[in-house]
Amino acid sequence: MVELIEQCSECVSLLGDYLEGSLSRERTTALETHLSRCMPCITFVRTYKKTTVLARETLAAQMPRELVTSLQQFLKGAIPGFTCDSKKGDCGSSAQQPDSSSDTKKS
Amino acid sequence: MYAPTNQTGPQSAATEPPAPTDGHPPDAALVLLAQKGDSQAFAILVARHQRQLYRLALRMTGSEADAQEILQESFLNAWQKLPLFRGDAQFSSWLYRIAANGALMRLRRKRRAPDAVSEQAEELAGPKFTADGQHEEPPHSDWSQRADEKLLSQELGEHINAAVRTLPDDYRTVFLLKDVDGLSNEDIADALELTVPAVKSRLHRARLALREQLGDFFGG
Repeated sequence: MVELIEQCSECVSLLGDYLEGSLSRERTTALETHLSRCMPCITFVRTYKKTTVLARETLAAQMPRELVTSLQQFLKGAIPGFTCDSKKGDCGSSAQQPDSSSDTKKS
Repeated sequence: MYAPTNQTGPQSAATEPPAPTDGHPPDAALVLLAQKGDSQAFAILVARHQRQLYRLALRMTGSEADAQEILQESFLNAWQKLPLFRGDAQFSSWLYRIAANGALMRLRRKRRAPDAVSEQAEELAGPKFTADGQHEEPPHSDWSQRADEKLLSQELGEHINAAVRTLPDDYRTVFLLKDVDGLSNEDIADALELTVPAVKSRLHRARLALREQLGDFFGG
């Protein structure tokens, strides 16, 4: 027996887990049942999702090349033997390549 | 491809996980080398993680100059503390924790108000509901479609930047790490020394607050 969600506030409070897929099957069904008959919540979900998309699109800052260079120079001065010449590519992914950190970060 | 001259043992075994896309060994192998004093291995770790750390520092402080200093301090701290790194967490999480703490300390020093964060958090905007849990002001306007048309608008970009800056520091950090940089809840919890439920709660509240501000922008 699925426990129904009558209140929009409860629906909104579950959105994070729902969109991440970490809500239980029962709660997912209850939430989707609520959404199937609540237009304000459908609009809410769409705009909630769009908020994260817009943020990702607009905030994906690139690291200025000058800053890459200044960081390398700083570390060369502070760490004996630190060698990272972006022109020779000694550090592999230098300033112009896309982030590789996500390969090791996302799990 | 970086090939250390003194590498021995299982690090070079064929059973290693696939190498990252930069063609160098994975973090764990480079960390082991760096812990033995191999500064070139550390340089590769710097090159691999500097952009994510820069984005975190820039978005937390809103200042390129601060971001630059945080980056320098964080990597230097990481190098100096590397012998203490046990590998219980991912290296990247550990690095993030160093940078995030550095940024938070810097922000708090500037504001001279250590309690400002929790006070701000209480005032985070969000949807309003009636006593029986219904939307007080139903979001009749679905601005998600209009947002696509304005995606590249400079005005929208400035508005989002400004809106993110209004978030309390702790909330902004979680939001940026999750929704902009794509870290998992577990990695964020690890980096910021929070529980996963606390990460989820802050993320949700940050999204709700930003959604409200975007609704205002789109007239929804």
